[in-house]
Amino acid sequence: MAQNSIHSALMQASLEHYAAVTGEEHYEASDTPPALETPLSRRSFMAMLSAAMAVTAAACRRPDYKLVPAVKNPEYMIPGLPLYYSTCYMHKNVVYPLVVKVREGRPVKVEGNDLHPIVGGKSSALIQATLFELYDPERIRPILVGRRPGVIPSGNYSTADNAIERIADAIRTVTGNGKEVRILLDEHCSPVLERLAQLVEQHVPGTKVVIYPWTIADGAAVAAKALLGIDGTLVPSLDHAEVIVSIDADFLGIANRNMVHATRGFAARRRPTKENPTMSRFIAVEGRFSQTGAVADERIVIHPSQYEGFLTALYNAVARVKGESLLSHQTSNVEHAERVARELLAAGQRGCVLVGEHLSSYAHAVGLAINALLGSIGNGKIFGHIMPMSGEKRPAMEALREDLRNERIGAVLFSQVNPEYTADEEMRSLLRRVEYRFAHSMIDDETAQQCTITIPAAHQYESWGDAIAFDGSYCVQQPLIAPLPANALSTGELLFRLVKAFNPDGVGQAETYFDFFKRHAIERLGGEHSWEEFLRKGFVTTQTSAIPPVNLRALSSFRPSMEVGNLAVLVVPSSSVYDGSHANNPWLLECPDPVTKHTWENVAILSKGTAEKLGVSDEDVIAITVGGRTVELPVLTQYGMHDGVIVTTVGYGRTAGKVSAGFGQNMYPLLTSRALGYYSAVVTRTGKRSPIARTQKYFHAQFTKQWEPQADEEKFRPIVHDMTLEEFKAGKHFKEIEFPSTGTDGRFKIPLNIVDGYQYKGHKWGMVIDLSACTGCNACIIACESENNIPPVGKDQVMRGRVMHWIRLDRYYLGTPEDPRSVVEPMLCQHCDNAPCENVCPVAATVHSPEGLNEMVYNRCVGTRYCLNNCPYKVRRFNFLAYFRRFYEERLGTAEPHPLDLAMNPDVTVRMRGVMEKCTFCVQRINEAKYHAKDQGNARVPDGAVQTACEQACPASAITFGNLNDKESRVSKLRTSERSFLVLQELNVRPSVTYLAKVRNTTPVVA
Amino acid sequence: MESTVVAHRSTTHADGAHLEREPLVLGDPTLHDITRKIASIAEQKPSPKYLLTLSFTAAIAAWGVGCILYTILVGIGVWGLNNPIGWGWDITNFVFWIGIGHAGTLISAILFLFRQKWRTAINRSAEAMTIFAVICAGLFPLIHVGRIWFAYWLIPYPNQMQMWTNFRSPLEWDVFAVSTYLTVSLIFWYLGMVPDLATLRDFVQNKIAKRVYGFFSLGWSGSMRHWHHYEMAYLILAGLSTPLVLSVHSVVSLDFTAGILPGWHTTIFPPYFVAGAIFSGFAMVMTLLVITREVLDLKEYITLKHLDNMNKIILATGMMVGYAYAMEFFIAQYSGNPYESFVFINRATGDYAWAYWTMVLCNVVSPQVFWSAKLRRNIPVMFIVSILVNIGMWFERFTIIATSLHHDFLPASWGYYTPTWVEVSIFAGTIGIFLTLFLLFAKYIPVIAVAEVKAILPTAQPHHHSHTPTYRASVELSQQS
Repeated sequence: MAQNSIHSALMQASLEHYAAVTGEEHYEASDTPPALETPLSRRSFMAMLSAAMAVTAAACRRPDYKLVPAVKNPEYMIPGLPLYYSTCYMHKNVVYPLVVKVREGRPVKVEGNDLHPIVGGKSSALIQATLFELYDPERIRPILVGRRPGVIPSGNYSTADNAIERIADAIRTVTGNGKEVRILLDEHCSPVLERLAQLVEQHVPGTKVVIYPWTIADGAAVAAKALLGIDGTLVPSLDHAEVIVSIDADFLGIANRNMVHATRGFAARRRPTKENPTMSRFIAVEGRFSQTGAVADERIVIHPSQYEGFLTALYNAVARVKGESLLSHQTSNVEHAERVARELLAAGQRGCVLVGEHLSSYAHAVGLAINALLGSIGNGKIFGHIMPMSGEKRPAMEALREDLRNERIGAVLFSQVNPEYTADEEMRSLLRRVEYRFAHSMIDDETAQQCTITIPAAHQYESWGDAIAFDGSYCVQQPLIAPLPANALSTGELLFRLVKAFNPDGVGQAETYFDFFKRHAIERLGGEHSWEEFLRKGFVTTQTSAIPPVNLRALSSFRPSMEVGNLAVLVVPSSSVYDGSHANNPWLLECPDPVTKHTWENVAILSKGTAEKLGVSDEDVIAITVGGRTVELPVLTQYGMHDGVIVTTVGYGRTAGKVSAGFGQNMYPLLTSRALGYYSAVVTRTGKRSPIARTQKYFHAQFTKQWEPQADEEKFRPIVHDMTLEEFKAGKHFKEIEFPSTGTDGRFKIPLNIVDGYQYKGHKWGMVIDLSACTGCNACIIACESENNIPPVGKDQVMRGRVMHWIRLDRYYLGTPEDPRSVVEPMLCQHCDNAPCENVCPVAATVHSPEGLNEMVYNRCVGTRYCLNNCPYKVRRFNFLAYFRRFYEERLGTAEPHPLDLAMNPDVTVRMRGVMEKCTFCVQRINEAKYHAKDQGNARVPDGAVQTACEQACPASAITFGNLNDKESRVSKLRTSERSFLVLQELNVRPSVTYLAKVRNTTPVVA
Repeated sequence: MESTVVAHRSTTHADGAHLEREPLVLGDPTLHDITRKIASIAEQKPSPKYLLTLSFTAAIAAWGVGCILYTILVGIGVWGLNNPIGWGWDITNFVFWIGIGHAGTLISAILFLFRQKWRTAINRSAEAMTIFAVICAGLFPLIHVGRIWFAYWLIPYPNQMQMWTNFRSPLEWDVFAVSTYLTVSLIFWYLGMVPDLATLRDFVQNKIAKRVYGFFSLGWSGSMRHWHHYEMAYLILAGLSTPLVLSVHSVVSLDFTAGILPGWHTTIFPPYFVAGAIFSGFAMVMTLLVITREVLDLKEYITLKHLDNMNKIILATGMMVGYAYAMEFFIAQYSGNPYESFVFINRATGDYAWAYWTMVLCNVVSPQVFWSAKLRRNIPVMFIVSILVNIGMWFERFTIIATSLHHDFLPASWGYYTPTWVEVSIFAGTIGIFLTLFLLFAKYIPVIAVAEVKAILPTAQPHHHSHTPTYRASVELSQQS
């Protein structure tokens, strides 16, 4: 079966090949291999064969397009060798230019496009996990018709074209009755989609296209429109920043759609070296303890109701110096604000204020004004770019609501939006009352279930499209595989066909969507000659629009508007599944929260003080009531939070999707028109309990079971280190432990080894992880999961402590519980030279390679788990159950969740139950690089030629991998850094992973 | 019976000549009495009570075997183990059963070499217990592996994979230690039984039984030559077994000491484990003997003196383990290794403190009652203490394994472990297997070494004060021959 499907993927799904049968037939065919019962003579066999070939040649087939591989590729497919294609993924209105690895016609790994200046080859957890969604076994295959009572246009629905015809019929009927039609799209940044939306409105009668976001946080857009006169928001480039002040902005977290760009820029200025002992200074003002706040040099913890007052005070302090008129609104925390303002002023145009996207337009306007006064806005400065298509969405949505209330709408088409899950009650019932409801969706989600016709949506990796990035680069979305569901359409193709159904000339001379897209793209590219380079490189650079000057007078039109009570509930996108549009993805569901390390659901995160006040502790369920609507969530306490804040996320509590349904609670009903942000809440105890699955339960690093306040340095385990920039400059470093070679009397030899250590003559692989750069974003975890075929295990198994991730991000708190300093320590197999796991394995299933790798031989492992017990880092992962299929068996009811098997990396074994596994330093990549080096006549792999999956994905570039025997390699140099230390080096296990201590810039910046 | 003892003592004291040893067999049986007494157990039809007990233990054993099959079919995940805690009840039970299996060989071999005659009444059942306990013990390393179908890879044999086992692994040492111990114990037990099997062969009427006993008695005729070879072989085997008593549990303890985990990596383990093994082994022998002598009415053969002696050993070894507990704690603090001292403080105060204090109460406190001679000879007291010691020794192993694993070096990876019903069932199942085998043994194999007991009767002893028993014995001996 598996072989069959790989074979069929090879032969059929690839666009490089001429697929001869439709996807549906191919699925059936792979289940029942054809058997010829009648013995055929050679002659009749030949006759049949030629007849079959004639039929095949004449049969309709999927269109074939010429794809162009990325720059570094061979020109054609060689079985066993990967091809790389440039494409992109649109995450809402942010584009991630990508290079996707394709093996035998199937995409198996997603990486950032290393040529593109925004991502620079890096990616995020979410982008890495999109691969799963491509192969999601729950994707809709046939067109779903008439599952809900409602008017269904009569006719044939066998193909997408037929279905479009029927939808067109419905539109004609509706408009004939004097009603209108709305097409709801998700946020995007695609010029071709925008063009098609215009064409739809032009040629399809009575139809309007509405951008219908899952969540709304438009304070910045409103402020920018007033102060800058632009329809969009500004994007900060933090590598220019000297002083960063964030007001509740989680800009390093997934909540920021641009997190890769932000993390790259931020981390670039966070790694002081001896030669250049400087770094940016980051002050976080927040009430919660966000992933971003955790890396701050200084945290100012204030209640959310004071954010606006703080910003006002900050503005006044800056304005006073700049000679601008002051704001008369209420201020708060003036002392802090003035101190911060002094630092910002000292940094001048290298200082910036980042305001949380969910805060009010007043907060954003004041933030913009401060940045303008500092001089950090303008092309080439910190705020040098405008986010495309980031304008206000709310008016259009409110207009839609008004139209629905007035019963002006007769048909709605939902394209990849899910109002049944995200909208408020009124909107849901209004939408359900619409006569004709059509959905265009990847999985059978809540909204699709309320629709009469559902057309399967193509994944972005299956579609042609384009996208525009904030730096002006125009990116191509190149399909890497034919749509797995035969009738799947991309949003662009759907709109294209709809226009064509009403006016065949409306789309110009284009016969197919591809023709249309190509013509559109070439128009933008300025000629046919750039087309191939466009596909090869994945993008072309175009001009960006200039940023107009800030009109400070418009500031007076804004009033402080945040009114939150003493107990404020903050609702933000989930750190794993974002707004719920990625909720059916087990890779993301199981990806732990960067701060609290809970998985699989949303919880109410609050401080210990608040928990005590409410009389609850971890896992007790509380009822949160906002505006008369109540949601019950389990409690999770967190250090460093203000007592008046409860944080929770949207994205969970789905009812559709077998993977995600039943986990967490839907927070959307609590929101006012799906606006993220703070809400005043009434919180009560319910007396119920709900267990939370966490991948880390102990966060202190002391030699005691609990975190003891006011403990001295001695009480901390020397497993994780941080220091201030001053200490670093003063030459603080971590002593190498010297193991004594003689006894205390100086006579007796105490040999640590009775034989000389192994001499690594060729390569000696090693890794350096910079804790100062690491922001704990989880990109490495999912990159590793995708690269190494790591199975999700499910919430019950996470609760049992059996998560399979090969790399985990250990978070430790130093200091005191009242004022915690947090350090994230990525922990993976340390590939110890004196590996304690190796000598205890009775069957020699884990051994050391001549290149310093600790190798795990899966097919020799009998599963005694002794190595796991003896691993001081506890990085080994045992397959307690048949995890490679168990999760899908339980959630989907099938042991072979086709086509998910195609997502597997063919270079990495899928481990069976009863076998130990662990990080391999991506040995498959090492071997590939060695082959290449050998082909080119090199005995050594050049530095940087091997990138582990975690290193490649890491947007902070915190991970460096390479050859320690090469004294010129990056790892060798980093290893000698003053900040370097080895975890548990006192055990003399001699790990190959070196950590660089976190540095905090606690010195105020002065002019 | 007790009055006899007292009377006997008082007479000797009254004579004022010297303190006479308490007899090891009471009631002055003749040699034939002994034969009849022991051999008739095998000859009698099993009583309904016996059958009921047997079917009960067999049912538990079957349930346990069912759970083992379930584990093999579904995976180790049906147990409660997780990522920091790779071993739990499985290895706890393994070490527990291996420990139980210690007293048998100790009583047989070491006491034999030291000419401790009081061992004769109990050595057979103690040896049987050893074998059954080692069988139960051997089950756990086997079923605890993730892929039991490849467990044979632990045996070094020439193979097409050209893979040798890893001789640096203590688990590999276990394979040799345990299998050697099982083999030698089995041979030792069987060899010691040959004369008695011949006695049974001659005694039983049932034809099939006669043939079976005949087969296993290896043509024993009781000739001088047979006795000569037998005694020599027995002595050699006793000599071979004695170091094994020390080596097996030392090797088992190396499973932990060879690890680098705080709480495992300590040199005190080998002697501490051996003492603990003897301690738990004797406690288990005690539990079984108290039951056996009641059920099979062997009070004359398994006398209070035997039990008294054993209680003394329990007291002594109990204090040895108590010393080890204290010393472990002391060294952990004295070493100045903060990881080490944390683990021990965590043992006494952490999540598993209840297990630790159960262990201390059962192993260190409860045997202290045996300072009193009266309580040493009190059947209910010694029965309860022996049960407590068994519980305590089980918790000792659990404490060592679970507390060291659940909170080790990096707090981020800390966890907690609770067993599932499957693990509990498998442990119960091994108790079922053990009891079933013991019940079968008690019924069909001489529970007391007949030939040896005969040899320690006053009749068989050379003597100075001529008394009737000697005369009677010599007459009987001449009659028999």
